[in-house]
Amino acid sequence: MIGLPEERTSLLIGDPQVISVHQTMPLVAHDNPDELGQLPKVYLVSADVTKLNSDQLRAATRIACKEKGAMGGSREHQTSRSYRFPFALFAVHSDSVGIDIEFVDPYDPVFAESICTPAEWSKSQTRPETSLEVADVWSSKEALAKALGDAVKYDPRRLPSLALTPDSATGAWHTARIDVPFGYTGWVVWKHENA
Amino acid sequence: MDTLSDLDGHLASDTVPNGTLIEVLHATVERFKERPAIEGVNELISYGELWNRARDVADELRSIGVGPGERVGVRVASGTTELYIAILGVLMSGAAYVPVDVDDPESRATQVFGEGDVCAILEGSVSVNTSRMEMGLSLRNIRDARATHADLSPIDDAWIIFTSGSTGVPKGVAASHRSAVAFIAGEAALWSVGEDDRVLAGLSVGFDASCEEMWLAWANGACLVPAPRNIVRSGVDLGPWLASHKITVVSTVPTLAAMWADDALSGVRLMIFGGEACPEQLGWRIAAERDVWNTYGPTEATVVSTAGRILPDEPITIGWPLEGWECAVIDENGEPVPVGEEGELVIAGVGLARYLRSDLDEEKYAPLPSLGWERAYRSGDMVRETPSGFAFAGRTDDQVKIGGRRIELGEIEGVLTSCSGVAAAAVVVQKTKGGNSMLIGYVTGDVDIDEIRRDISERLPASLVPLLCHLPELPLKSSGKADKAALPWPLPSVAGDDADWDPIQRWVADQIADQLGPVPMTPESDFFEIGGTSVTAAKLVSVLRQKYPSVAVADVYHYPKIADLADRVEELAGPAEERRKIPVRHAKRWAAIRTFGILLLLLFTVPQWVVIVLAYNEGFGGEDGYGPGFVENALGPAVSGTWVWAWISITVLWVLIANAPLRSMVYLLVRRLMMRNVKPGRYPKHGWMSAKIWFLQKLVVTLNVNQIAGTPWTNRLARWSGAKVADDARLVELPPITGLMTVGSKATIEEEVDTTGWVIDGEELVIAEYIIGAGARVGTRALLMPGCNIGEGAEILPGSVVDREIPAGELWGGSPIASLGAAGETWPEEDPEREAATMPGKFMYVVGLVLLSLLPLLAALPGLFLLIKLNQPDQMHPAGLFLYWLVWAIPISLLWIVMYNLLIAATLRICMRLIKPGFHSDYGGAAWAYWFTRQVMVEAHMFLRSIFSSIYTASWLRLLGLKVGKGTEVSITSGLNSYVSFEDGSFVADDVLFATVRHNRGWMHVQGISVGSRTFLGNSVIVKGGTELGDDSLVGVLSSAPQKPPDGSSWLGMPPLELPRVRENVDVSRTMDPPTRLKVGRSIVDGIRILLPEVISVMLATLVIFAADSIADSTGSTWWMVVALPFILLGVGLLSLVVMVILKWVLMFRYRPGGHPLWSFFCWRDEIINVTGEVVAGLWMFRYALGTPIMPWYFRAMGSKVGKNLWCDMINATEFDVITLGDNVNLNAGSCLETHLFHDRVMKIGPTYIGDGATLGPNCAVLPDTVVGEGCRIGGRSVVMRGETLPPNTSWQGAPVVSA
Repeated sequence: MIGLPEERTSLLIGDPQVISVHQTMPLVAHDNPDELGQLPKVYLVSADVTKLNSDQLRAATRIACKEKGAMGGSREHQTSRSYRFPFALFAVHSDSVGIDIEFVDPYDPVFAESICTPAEWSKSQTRPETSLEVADVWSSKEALAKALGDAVKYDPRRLPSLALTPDSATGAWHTARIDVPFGYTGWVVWKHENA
Repeated sequence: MDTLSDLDGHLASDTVPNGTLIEVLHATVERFKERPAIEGVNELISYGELWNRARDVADELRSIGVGPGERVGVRVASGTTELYIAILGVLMSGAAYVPVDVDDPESRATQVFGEGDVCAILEGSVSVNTSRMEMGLSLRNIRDARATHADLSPIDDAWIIFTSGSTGVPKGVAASHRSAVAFIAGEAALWSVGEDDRVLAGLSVGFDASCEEMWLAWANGACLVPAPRNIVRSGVDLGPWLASHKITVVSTVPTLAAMWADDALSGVRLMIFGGEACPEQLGWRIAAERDVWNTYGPTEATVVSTAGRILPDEPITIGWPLEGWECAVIDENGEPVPVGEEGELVIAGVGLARYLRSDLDEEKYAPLPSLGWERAYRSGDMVRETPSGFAFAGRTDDQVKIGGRRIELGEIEGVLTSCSGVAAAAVVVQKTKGGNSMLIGYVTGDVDIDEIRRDISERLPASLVPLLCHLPELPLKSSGKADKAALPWPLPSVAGDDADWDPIQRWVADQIADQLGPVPMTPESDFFEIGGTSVTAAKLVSVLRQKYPSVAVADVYHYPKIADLADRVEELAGPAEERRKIPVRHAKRWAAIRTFGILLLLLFTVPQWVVIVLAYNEGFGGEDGYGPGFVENALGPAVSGTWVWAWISITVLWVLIANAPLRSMVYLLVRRLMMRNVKPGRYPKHGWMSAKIWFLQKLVVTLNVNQIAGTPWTNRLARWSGAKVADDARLVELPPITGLMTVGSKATIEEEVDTTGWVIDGEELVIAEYIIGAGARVGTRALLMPGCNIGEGAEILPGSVVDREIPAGELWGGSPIASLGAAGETWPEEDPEREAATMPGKFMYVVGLVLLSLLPLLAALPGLFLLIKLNQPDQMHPAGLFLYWLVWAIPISLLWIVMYNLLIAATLRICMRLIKPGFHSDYGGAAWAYWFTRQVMVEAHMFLRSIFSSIYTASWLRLLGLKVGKGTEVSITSGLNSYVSFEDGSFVADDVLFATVRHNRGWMHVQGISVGSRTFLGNSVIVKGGTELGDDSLVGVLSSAPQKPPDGSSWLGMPPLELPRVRENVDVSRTMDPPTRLKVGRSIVDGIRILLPEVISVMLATLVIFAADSIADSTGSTWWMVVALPFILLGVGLLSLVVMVILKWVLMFRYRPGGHPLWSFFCWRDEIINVTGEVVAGLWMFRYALGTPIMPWYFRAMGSKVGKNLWCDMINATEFDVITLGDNVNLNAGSCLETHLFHDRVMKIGPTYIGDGATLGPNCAVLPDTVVGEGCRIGGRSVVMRGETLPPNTSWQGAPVVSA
C-alpha cells in the first residue's frame, strides 16, 4: 500500500510503543530528473498500524526527524515536518525544504477560491475543481511556505502553488507529490539551484 | 426447520465440502494456493501463506490448551493481514473468536473479553530487528484454556460478536460454524464471486457484517482488500479509493455509497447493501450498471437473513430469506398477519445464533407457538410482505442506526444516568444543518458537562459518545416519558454556557463549530487545541471573510483563542462601521480656488523668468530693447555701459533671486501669513484649511525650499516654520508645513523621510503631529503617519511606516512596522568628536548652495553663447521664426545636456574622494561632500530625468564613477554614488533607493552596495548600505532588499520575505541579450527620448520668452510683463499637457493589457511617453497642478476613465487606458497606479480599478490587475499585490497589504 519503500526503518520510542517510519518517494514529474539535483529524503510516519495518539505521534516524529536529519552527516541539513493524524511526514534536505500532508476534505468552492491566487483561479487549467485538487493546491502551498520560512506569514492568495506550474518548479524551487496513504495528499518543496 | 444433513447435502455441491468455516477455507486454499488472499495495508499474502500462518497461530493456541468450545479474544489493528491471520488461527484451533476493534476504548475491550469469557487474547505487536519492522501477533493468557472436545464440529461456535444492548451492557451473540457456513452457502446461491474479484473489507471486525466481506473473498478465492480506517471514516474518499484499488465487490451501507461518484464505482460489479434502508433513487442509480443486492439481517440471526436484488425502477425490498432461513410477519400477539399487512419480522432456521446470557436467550429466542417454531428471533423490525419481498417499515423500539451501526439509545441513556449528578437523561438522533445524523444526549441535574463527557468517553465507543446538552429539566409526555420531539434542536449553543459569550464570540464560535464539528468550546478555547489545523484555519478564514472581508489566515495563528479572535475580527470590522459617511460638499468651488492658486504659485516663479527674459533682451533686444534700461535702473549707473557689465549684473541678479536662502525666506513669509495655530485633527477635504495646506505644499516645491535641508541652517528654518527642533538634532528633511513636529536633542531624520504631516483620507484632510524623541533615528524614506510618536533613542529602519508610538530604545522596522529588538546596536557607543558648525564649515555650505544654483546656468553658457552668436533673421514670419527655433533648439539642448553631465560628473568625482567607507562625524568634510553630491544628484534627477532608463544610462553612471556591468538597465534612482556597483545585466526599476549612507547621533556611516548579475530591483526598493545582492535575485516592489541573500532568490515586502518566482518563457534575445539590430534601434529611440523632452522644454521656454518679450516690447513696460507672465506660464503649462496628449495618442494610441519584452519597440515608445510626461508636463505643469481639476482632465485626455472630484496629488501613472477611477477618489502624494510590472525584463500591463471614495495613501503602490473596492483605504507606502481584490470599505496597510 505504501509505495516504493526504498528503505524501511523503525524506531523504538519507549517500550512497548513502536512507531513505523518508512522512507517514501517524492513522485517527480519532470522530463529530466537529473536537473533536480539531490532530492530531499522524505519519511512517512504512521500511527495507524501501531497505537500512538496524536501527541505521541508528534513526539515520535520529532525524534525520528532529528535522527534522520543528523544522519545526513552534516549540520547543514534542513528538515521540515507535517502532521495529520494518524500520519506524519518529514523531509531532510541539504537546502531549504518544506513538507505538508493533508487529509482530502470534501470539495468546498469558497475554500478553494480563498486559497488560490487570482491567476490560478482565473484559468481553468489551474483552478482546483475536485477535493483532491483543492487539497493538492493547499498542501503544495503549505509546503512552499514552510520551505520559504515562516508559513504563517504567507497568504495563500499571494503564494503560487508550484504544483500548478509547468515542471512543478519556479526558479530554484521545486515540488513533488509524495506517495502517502490513500485519502491523503502530501507535497514536498525543496530548493535547488539550477546550474 | 432445516436439518444439518439437508444443509450438508446442499453445501457438498461444489464450494463447501463440509460444515465448518475451516473446511470452507481449506477447499479454497487447495484450489487457489498461489492466489492473493489479503492485500493488507502492510503486506500482500497468498492463500497458501495465509493458511500456513493461521495454522502457526492455531498451533500456538492449541499448545496452551485452546480447542473447540473455547473462546479467544482478537484485538489487532484494522487493515493488517495479522488481524485476519489471528481470526483464522483462532477458528483453526477450534475456538470461537471474540473481536474488539482497536479503536474502541479499553473499557469496552475489558467488558467484551470479560463477558465473552475468553481464555486468551491475540493482540497486534510490532517487533523490531535491525532493518525491518515486523508486524506480529502476541498472545496474552487470561486463564487456563479448557477445550470441551477434540475435533471441531459444525455446531461449535465460530464467533461471538457483541451488539449494544438496552441494558447498558453489550450483548454477546454466538454464531455456530453451521450457521456461518449456511450463510456463505445461502449467499453463494444468490450471486457468484470469483478468484479474480477483489472484495472490499471496510468494516470493523467488531461488526458481523465484516464476516460477509471476509467470506465473500475466502469462500471463492477472491482477494480481500482492507481499506484504511480513516478512508472509511471519511466516507467520500472511499469512492476514489475503490477505483484506485480496483475493488470489484463491495458490501456497504447505502449512506456511504451515496457519497461516491459513478466513475469511482465503474470497476465494481457486485454491490451488496445492508445495515439500513436503501433509498430507491440511489439503489436504482447504482443498479443500472451492476448487480446490486439489498440485504437484511440482525447479528442474532447470523449476518444476513434476507436478500433481494435491486433492479432499476422496481420497488426496493429486503427480499426473501436465504436458503435455510425462515421468516414470518407477526402481530403483537404473536399471530401471523395477512400478507401485505405490517408486523414484526421474526426469524428462524439454520442461521439462528444464541445469546451468551441464558436469560436473554430465552427471552429473545422464545418459541413461537402460532407457527410451531421452537426458537424464533424477534427482530424488532416492522415489515410487510409484498410480491417482491419483505418491505422494511421501521423499528418497534428505540434502536437507531447511525452510519450503519445499530445503536440502542437506551444503552447510552443508561450510561449517562449512571454518571454522578445526572438526574435524568434522554438520547436522541438529530439531523444537523449539513444533513448528518448526530447523537445528542440531554441531561438534567447538577452536573459538570465536561466531567460527564470524560466519564462516558471512557465507557462508550467513540461513535456512541453523544454531544451533550445540559437542560434545567427534560420535557415530558403525559406518560411520564421524555418527550423527545420537544427537546431543543438545534442546540441553544454548541458553545457551552450562554452567559460567557458576546455576540461576535458566539458567531465566531459557530463558524468554528461548522468547521470542527460541535466540539465543546469556551471563549478561552484555543482553536488549535480543540482540533483546528492549518486547513481548518484557512477554511475558517474563508467563512469569516464573508462577513469580515479583511481577516487573514495569520490572524487565526496570532489569535488562536476564540475570545481574542473575536476581538480581532471586531477590530477589523470596527472602522468600517464607525467611519461616518461624510457628504461631498463644495468640491467644485474649492477645486476652482485651487486652480486659481496655480496662478499665484506661478507668480513666485516670475522673478526668475524676468531675469531670463532680461538676459534674452540683453542679447537680442538691441536698441529697441527695454532690458539694459531696466538693468541700469535697477542696479544703478555703476553697471551702465557695456554688455559685459549687463551680463555680470544679470548673473548676480540670478544668484540673488534664485538662491536657496532667499527662496526659503519667501516661503517662511508666506507660511507665516497662512499657517497660524494649526491644530492636528480632521478637516474637510474641500475647505479653507485644505486649500492653504495644498498651496503651501506646492509652494515648497515651486521654491525648492528643500535645497536648504541638510545645511547648518535647517534647524533654524524648521523652528521658523513652527517646529520645535533641538539645536543638535539633525534634519535632512524639512518639518511639515504645518510645523507640527517636535524633534529632540541629537535625533536624526535622514533624507527622503516623508514628513508631510497631512494626508487626504476619504472626504477629510488629516493633519498629524510628530514627536521624535531625543537621540532617535528615523531611517531614510521612512513614512511618518498620523499618530507617530518615536520614543527617545529609538531607531526606525529605512522605508518603515511609522503609524504608532514607538517605545524608547527599541529598533522598529517594516511595513506594517514591527519591533526588531534594541536600537543603536550597529552604531559606535561613544559620541563623535563634534565641533559645532564652524564658520569655514558654514561657508562651504554657502559655496555649495551658490554652486547648486549656478550649475545649470553654467551648463547653459555654451548654448547661450551659440544663441547670441546666431544672427536671428530680422523680418521673419512668426511661423518661420518658430521653425527656426525648433531647428536650433536641438543643438542647444544637446549642448546643454552634455555640459551639464560633465559638470555633474566632475563635481561628483571630486566630492566622492572626500567620502570613505566607515564612520564619519556628521559635521566634517565628508558630511559636507555627501550633502553636496546628494543635492547635485537631486538636481540632476530634475533636469536629466530622461537620461535614466535609457541605453546611455550605464555609460553615464560610469562617467559619474560607478562600476556598472554590461547590459545593466537603471531607471531613475536615488542615492547613486561611487559606492554602488552593478554586475552585468542587472535591472533597477524606478525610484530605487541606494542608502549607502546612514546617520545617527552625529555619526555618518558609509558602506558600499553591490548588485549581482541579472538581479532585478523593483520599483521603490530600498537597498541598505552593506547589501550584497547575489546573481539572479529579485526584489519586488516597495520592498527592502535582504542584506546578503543567496543567488537566485526572490524577495518581497518589508522586511523581505522570500518568494518563489515564475519565470516567463520569453525570447532571451528580446530581454537579456539583444542582437545588434535591436541595440542600434534602441540607441536611436533612446537618443530621441533624451532629446525630445529637452527640446520641447527649450521650445516652451522660448515661447515664454517670446511672449513675455513681445508684451514688454509692445507695452514698453516690464511691469506689464510681470503681470502677464503667470498667465503665459499657465498657458504654456497647459500647452505642455496638450503636447503630451498628442504624443501619447500618436505613439501608442491605446494601451491594452498584455506582455512586451524589454527590447521591443513597444517598451521604447512607452518609455518616451513616460519620460516626456515626467519631464515636460512635470516641470511645466504638474509642479503646480497636482490636486487641481487639471489632473482628472489630463487623465481623461490620456485615456483613463475618471469619476467626479478626483483628488490627484501624483503623476505616477503610465498606461492610462487601463486605469479606472471612481468618484471622489483620493490619490495621495507619491502614490502609484503601477499598471505594469517589469519582472524578468518583461513588461506586463494589467488594468487597475479604484472604486468610489477610495483613498490611496502616500507613496503606496497598486499593482496591475487590481480592484480596490469602494471606500477602501490603502495606507502609506503599502503595496496592493497583483491581482488582489480589496472588498469595499476596508482598510489596508503594509507591503504587501494586510488588513489594518
